[in-house]
Amino acid sequence: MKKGIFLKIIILSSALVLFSLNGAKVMAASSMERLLPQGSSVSRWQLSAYHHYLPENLYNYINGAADLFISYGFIKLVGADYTSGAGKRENMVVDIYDMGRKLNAFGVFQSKRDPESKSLKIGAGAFGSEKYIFFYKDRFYVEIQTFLPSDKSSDVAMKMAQKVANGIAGDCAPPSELNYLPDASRIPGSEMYITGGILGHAFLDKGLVSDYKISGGVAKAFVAFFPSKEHAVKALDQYKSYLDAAGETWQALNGFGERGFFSKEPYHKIILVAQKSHFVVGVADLSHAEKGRELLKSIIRRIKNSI
Amino acid sequence: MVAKEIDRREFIAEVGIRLVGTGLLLNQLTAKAAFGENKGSSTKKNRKLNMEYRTLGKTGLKVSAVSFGVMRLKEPAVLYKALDLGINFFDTADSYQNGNNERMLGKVAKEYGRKKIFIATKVHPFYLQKEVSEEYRLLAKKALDEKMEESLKRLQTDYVDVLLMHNIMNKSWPLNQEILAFLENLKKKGKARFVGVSLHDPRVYLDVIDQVSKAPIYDVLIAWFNFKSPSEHGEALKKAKKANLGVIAMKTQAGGYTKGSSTSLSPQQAALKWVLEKDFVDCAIPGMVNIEQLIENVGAVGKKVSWNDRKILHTYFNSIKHHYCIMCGKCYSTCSNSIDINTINRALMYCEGYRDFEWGRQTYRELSSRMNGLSCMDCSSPTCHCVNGIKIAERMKHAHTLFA
Repeated sequence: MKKGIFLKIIILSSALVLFSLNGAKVMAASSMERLLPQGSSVSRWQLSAYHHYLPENLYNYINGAADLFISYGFIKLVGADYTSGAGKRENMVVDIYDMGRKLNAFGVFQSKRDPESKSLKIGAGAFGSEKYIFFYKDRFYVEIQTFLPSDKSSDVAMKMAQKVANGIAGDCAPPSELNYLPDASRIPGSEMYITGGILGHAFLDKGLVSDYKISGGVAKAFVAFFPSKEHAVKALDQYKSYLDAAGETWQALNGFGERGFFSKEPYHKIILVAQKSHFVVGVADLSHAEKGRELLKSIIRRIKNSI
Repeated sequence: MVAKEIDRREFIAEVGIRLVGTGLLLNQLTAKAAFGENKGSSTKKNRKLNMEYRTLGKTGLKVSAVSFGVMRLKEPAVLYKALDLGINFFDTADSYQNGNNERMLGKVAKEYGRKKIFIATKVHPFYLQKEVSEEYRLLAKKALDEKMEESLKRLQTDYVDVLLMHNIMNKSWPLNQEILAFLENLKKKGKARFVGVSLHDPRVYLDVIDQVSKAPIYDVLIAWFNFKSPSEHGEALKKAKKANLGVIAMKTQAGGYTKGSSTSLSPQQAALKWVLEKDFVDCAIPGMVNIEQLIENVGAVGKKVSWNDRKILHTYFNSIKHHYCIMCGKCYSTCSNSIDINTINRALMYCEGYRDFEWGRQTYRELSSRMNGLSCMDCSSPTCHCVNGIKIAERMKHAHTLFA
């Protein structure tokens, strides 16, 4: 008897666990669908169909552009087609990309940022026009495209973007990692999160880069992220080996730890490089090494304050 | 090379002396001068590098056997290095990085000399994908011309060498009258010297190649092709070559697995050699994002697939076939623990194939403990089975050890 009750409890609890697991899966998909406005909240626009994509089939939807998203950790896309007007003449597509984390969403956003488009106040960053709006907030990157037959001025994309952004939880702050880059002399909008090779080097796989105005020229500062101090030290050694192979002479850089160095570098004029904790930091494209010292110091100071 | 500590004053003096000593004053180190210096030296280097150039079908363009899929690249230094290594054909698209990819290539092309290189870009006939109203269709058709103009502006040029219709997904598209008219118009106006299609959808692969080969307007074909491609794909490309189309291979390295990931070998070079050795392939456009990848790929030029390469590819194929998941989903029903096998395999692919450990771990950690590889750790009689030979139980345990 006791055995029977015990078995029943086991079966019941297993069923409950399975049910909750399936439920969780459904929630995961529908929670993103819930970010897509519908009904009275979007007045005349009617949601006609959802679409879902994963890394293995994103290519079917956006062709080779999929590689960019995948390189930034794309998890899934949930989007919807909207129609409006007699004969469904007006169309709008809203695509929400789950990029896993804010820094990845920022990476995609900055890669796609059109330097000629105006910045908009939506989410953590946005740009676009009447016809399209791209923005990111928290771990989501969002694209809204409208196809309106008339050339009349319209704010539908803007309104939709605001609604989607409001539905996404989280703040509208940029990724905290950007704090490593000093504000002074930074060229706004030039910040990028790079994956695959800062300055074109595989050994500087991931990190932030930004342009700075220095003494009338433009230099590039970078902060490469590594899992540990040992990895950062190894990357610095690889950097030196690269310069050796390129026939450049690197020299130690006083005041930047035992591993800091400066050198000429093919395609990047003069560079200053140092290691701090699990970061490799540097300033490139300098006409004169001395011009990068203050910026490099400032970055290291910011890293020190954050760890 | 021995590094020594120097102080600030010595630092300035040393840089100055070094640069004056080499004939380069500090104030002469503008970007152009720096790049010019590299270009100058590269002319000599190119002769030594022995880059191979092939005729791109009926276009007559002499393109580098290893050309450049610019796609994901954000660092122009890699393009300059590619030019130094003798690469002269660059493939981009309007959609890559929302046009920023074209902007970067355009800037480099202008600086290096537009006429010294060949540029291919792509636009996608997106409106053919679904049923749309007449009004929408006309608007979208007009948008194709606008897209082309925008591409030219971003590329800082008044022509592209090759314009491709991007990712043909339906066999009716290549002969669509509106597409043909669009392409003819571009050729007539000199905005595209040559035109073609890009293709990877296996469902339409053979049909599209057949149609494009028969339509005289088309000059070039970019197609997914690698050592894992079905033999009929190779046969179709042979036919395209016979029809005098320029044949460009993309996705040449099957999954992005590189040396050190699963073997100590360099399958990238062997895979590229395998493609370039096919006499119906004019060039390959591997996607590259850093100088190391570039050098590795260029290293394949002019080399025949040796017995050792075949061994490398065989070993490589054997090493990936047990973990290169094609996401068919047939394994799900075979696991008594309802593990999410596909997702775990995908997490491993991100880590091993794309070399992105964090991405793999993140994907894995999205799974609940009932659906990840935890249950596999002490599963004594696994029932899971893969029709393609992936050792599922082993891989699940490996993933759990790696990511959990």
